[in-house]
Amino acid sequence: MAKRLLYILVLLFAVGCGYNDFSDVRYQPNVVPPAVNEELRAVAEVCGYTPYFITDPIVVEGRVIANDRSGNFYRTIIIDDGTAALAIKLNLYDLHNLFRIGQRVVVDCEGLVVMREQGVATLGSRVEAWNATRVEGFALRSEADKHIFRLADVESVEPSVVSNGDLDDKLCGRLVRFDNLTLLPDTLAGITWADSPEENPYSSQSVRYFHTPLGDSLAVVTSVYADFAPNPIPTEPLSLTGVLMRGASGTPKSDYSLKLRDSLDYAPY
Amino acid sequence: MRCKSLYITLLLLLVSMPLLRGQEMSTLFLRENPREEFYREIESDTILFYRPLAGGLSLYDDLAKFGFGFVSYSQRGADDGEERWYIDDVELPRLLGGRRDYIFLSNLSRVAVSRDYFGRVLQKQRYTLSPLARSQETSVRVGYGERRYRTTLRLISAGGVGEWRYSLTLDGRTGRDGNVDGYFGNSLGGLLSFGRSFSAVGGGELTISLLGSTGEQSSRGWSTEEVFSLTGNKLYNPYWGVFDGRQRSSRMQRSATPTLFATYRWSGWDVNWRLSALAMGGERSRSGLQWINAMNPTPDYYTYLPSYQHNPTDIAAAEELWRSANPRYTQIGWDEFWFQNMLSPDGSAVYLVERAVERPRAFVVGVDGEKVVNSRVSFNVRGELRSESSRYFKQVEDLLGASWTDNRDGFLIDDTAYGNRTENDLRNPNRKVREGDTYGYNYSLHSRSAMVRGGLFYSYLRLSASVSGELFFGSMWRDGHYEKATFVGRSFGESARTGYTAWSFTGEADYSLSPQSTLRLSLNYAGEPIGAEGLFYDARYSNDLISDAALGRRFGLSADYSWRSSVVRFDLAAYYNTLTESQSVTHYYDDLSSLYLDMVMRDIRSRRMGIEAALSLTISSRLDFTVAGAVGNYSYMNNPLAELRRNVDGEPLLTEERILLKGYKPTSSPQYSIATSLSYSLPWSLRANLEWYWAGGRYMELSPLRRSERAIAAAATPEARRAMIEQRSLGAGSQLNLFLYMPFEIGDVPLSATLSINNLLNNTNTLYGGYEPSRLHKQGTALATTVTPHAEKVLYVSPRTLSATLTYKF
Repeated sequence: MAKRLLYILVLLFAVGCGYNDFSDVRYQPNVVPPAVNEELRAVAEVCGYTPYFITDPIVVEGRVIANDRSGNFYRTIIIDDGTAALAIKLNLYDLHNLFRIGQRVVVDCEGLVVMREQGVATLGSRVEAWNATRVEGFALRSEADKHIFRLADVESVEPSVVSNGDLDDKLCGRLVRFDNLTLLPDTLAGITWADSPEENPYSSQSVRYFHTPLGDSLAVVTSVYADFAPNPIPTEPLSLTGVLMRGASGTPKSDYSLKLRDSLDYAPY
Repeated sequence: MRCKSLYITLLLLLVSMPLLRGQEMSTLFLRENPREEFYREIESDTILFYRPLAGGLSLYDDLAKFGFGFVSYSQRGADDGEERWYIDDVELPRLLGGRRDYIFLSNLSRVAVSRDYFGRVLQKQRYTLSPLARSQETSVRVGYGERRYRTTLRLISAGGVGEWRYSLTLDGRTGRDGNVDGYFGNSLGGLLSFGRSFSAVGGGELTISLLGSTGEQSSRGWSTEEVFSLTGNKLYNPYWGVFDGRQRSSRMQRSATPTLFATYRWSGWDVNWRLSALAMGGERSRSGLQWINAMNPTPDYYTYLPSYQHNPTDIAAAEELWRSANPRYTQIGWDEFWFQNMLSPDGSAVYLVERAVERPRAFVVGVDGEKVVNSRVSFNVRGELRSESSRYFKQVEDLLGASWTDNRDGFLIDDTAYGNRTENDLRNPNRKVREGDTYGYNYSLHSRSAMVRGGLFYSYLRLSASVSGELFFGSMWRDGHYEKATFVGRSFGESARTGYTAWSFTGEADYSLSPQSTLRLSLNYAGEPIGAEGLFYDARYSNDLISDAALGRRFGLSADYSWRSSVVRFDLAAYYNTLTESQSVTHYYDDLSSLYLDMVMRDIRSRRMGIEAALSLTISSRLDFTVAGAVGNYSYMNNPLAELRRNVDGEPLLTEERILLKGYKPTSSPQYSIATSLSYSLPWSLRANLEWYWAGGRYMELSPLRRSERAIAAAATPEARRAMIEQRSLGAGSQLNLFLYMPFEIGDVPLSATLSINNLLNNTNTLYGGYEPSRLHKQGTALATTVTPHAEKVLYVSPRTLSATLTYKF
């Protein structure tokens, strides 16, 4: 009897192991977003340069066209659904892992605020307390997750090829490409995409001007924190891809400008 | 009958060993504080089962050694370097430094034939494995507990086969903690030893012991009081998360350490000789999360807490999140890691589980000779050769759905200066690292030493005295197996060899003042080498030696008085210990310079002194009462100088910075303590022990970085300065424990049962321990900045827990 009991105890003991063994487990995404009921165009149309508080149950979707991977878009992502673009502010870092380029996201806008910043419709959790011309991003990922649903669906978004004659406010925030651009002739040789803090301690953004063979000019705005900021700008004609903006920092309010996402956004034409 | 018992036990061994799954090795991943990972719970059942074996303890130590395990406690505030473990007279390897393998030590303490304590200045634990020290026995003990393990099983079989005696002990434990989520483990210790005396053929005694230890434990994490308060859960553990509907821990310790030990004793030329040999190997590891250009995966990272937010709406939202204890955010987010890895454009991991692995190898051979000169005088000598080597590397344990990672320094990827020198292994560049592959760092540390010791013993009438001296000659070096891009020419291959000559002198004298009272004086003075890991600025990556790594000086003095009668036992002890010229190397992120730094602190001096007293009364044939107390003072004695250098390339940052440690407490161990024990023998041989412990004079383990002159100067406001320099008290704590023991029979089957209830009053407001993180908060504007320290990390005591055992002796 005692021996029998002993064998049972040993077996009971033996089955109680392997608490942290997950070698055979595979994760399956199970995000269930709300139903989309509007296009981004609808949000862009109500969006002006004063805050607009969204009280209606508006659910939109789009694919990520820009994130903070290079450091040029600080705590911001931009989504595009083919009708318009929407920038979303999040006071978090390393957003590029949460929001991959081309990843589809669904956004429940109800309760949020939208406003144009640098020409781009920008969504945030509220208006900044000390600057009514800016919206504030989500401070917590848990709060962001209540409104932004990230899906396991990634597809690349191709830029629209445009020229200066095509520029329109409706293109602001969207991914565009300009071809055959060259630095302005009077630009210093070896100039980089952004001045270093030692060269320009007054601003964290630098503007570089390019021109087309027809004489049109385009400003390219780059943050000193972008990883390609210290790269020298090639002198040959380039194709530049980026997000179109208007009234970006360092440029006149009415002027359009381009913001590159990373070093792959400039290539020889 | 003896053989039958052995066969049963061996059968159980064969059945249970493969079922008790063999554990892989992993070493703890360490990001913040080495002490956090290695706090040891001194298990309550050891009180009952090891007291009879624990010879050499004073009355105070007998209670304190295990009773104060509910708080961070070390005997007389001892630092890690003071602890010594022995198998017979062979000290277990420690000269390579690094982390203690508490899984191995815990298994050793449970399967050893006996344990005793010796040395009053340096507390040493000695384990005996020889079967010749064990009487015949076959027994099995099963147990149930609520602290870390649920089920325990111990099998003991000791007896003889022909001329040989054997001892077999198996001790296994498994289960989840009954109160703390994400806290569980398995361990299996086994000892098989054989021995025989050759008296019939001219003398001699041979024992051979094979010790096996394997185990796997998750860790319980420390957090801030803000988190404990918001969750309302003093047992909150940030190290686990839900995955596949189960709890998964991100911090696992694993250990598998086989050890072979043999001794041969004989007599010749009027000398008693002993030859001993030890061989130890195996693997230990600690696992943890790694992330590349991603959000910190730790759920209680300071930026995720309400205290980091400024806007009232965000503060409220963060507080509500923590109060709701939503495990998606307040625990490890395994699903999120998988999701991000799945969408990685090139299949590389954003998050992964890695393990820091150590593969130790140690060989020790020693010869002792003891000669009794006459009735008063004897002497002994010992010579020992020791070879210790360990291989250290990191290994990918789980890519969490990704396909690969690279062998690059992730901290340098976006670095403007070193972004093109990120390769960890220039001899195998651009390697894609898969699960099970080595990466990160890969090096070995070696130590070779010889020791000679001589001791003289004198005993006459009331006096017995001994003096002994040891000399160590050794060398240590590193052998790098990776050539790191930022340390070209300084990382691959062997470093210069550091030779040292260390020494130790010990004197003890016992004088019997009367048949009942004894006075003992003990003194120890030693020049100790630091461990091999501490010889290098960063042994993980380079061969750069700290140029003047000197011996530390350890001095200890202890005076003990004891009085014994049939009903009264009284002990009084005073001690004075110092550690000077010691050195430490720390790697940390320096918020002031925004750099990862190596900090070498030199000539650190600390002192511990105090008085211990204990009184035990046999009130009646059934009732015993013991009360013990201690008052101590532990402090740093000076403000050492620190050298700072950049971890990335070894360039100096500051050659000398003063660290203001003088007067601070070097340990969180209690300086004041009281222990009481009431033991009552009830009818039917039931014995009950009620014990109460109180610990006070406890302080947070401090971060030297916060006491650096730079950090204190950067604290621009009075409040910030106060926060920087204050060493917060942990408060006093007390605990009441109950133990019951009863032997009985069912029919003719002899059994014994124990029941222990720790923290009978369920007092959970006591802090087990706490430490100051090294990180600093920078606040303010570009024109006016101040720094404040990050909140301390703490751990609360375990709640009321119960454990029970049933022992059957065949």
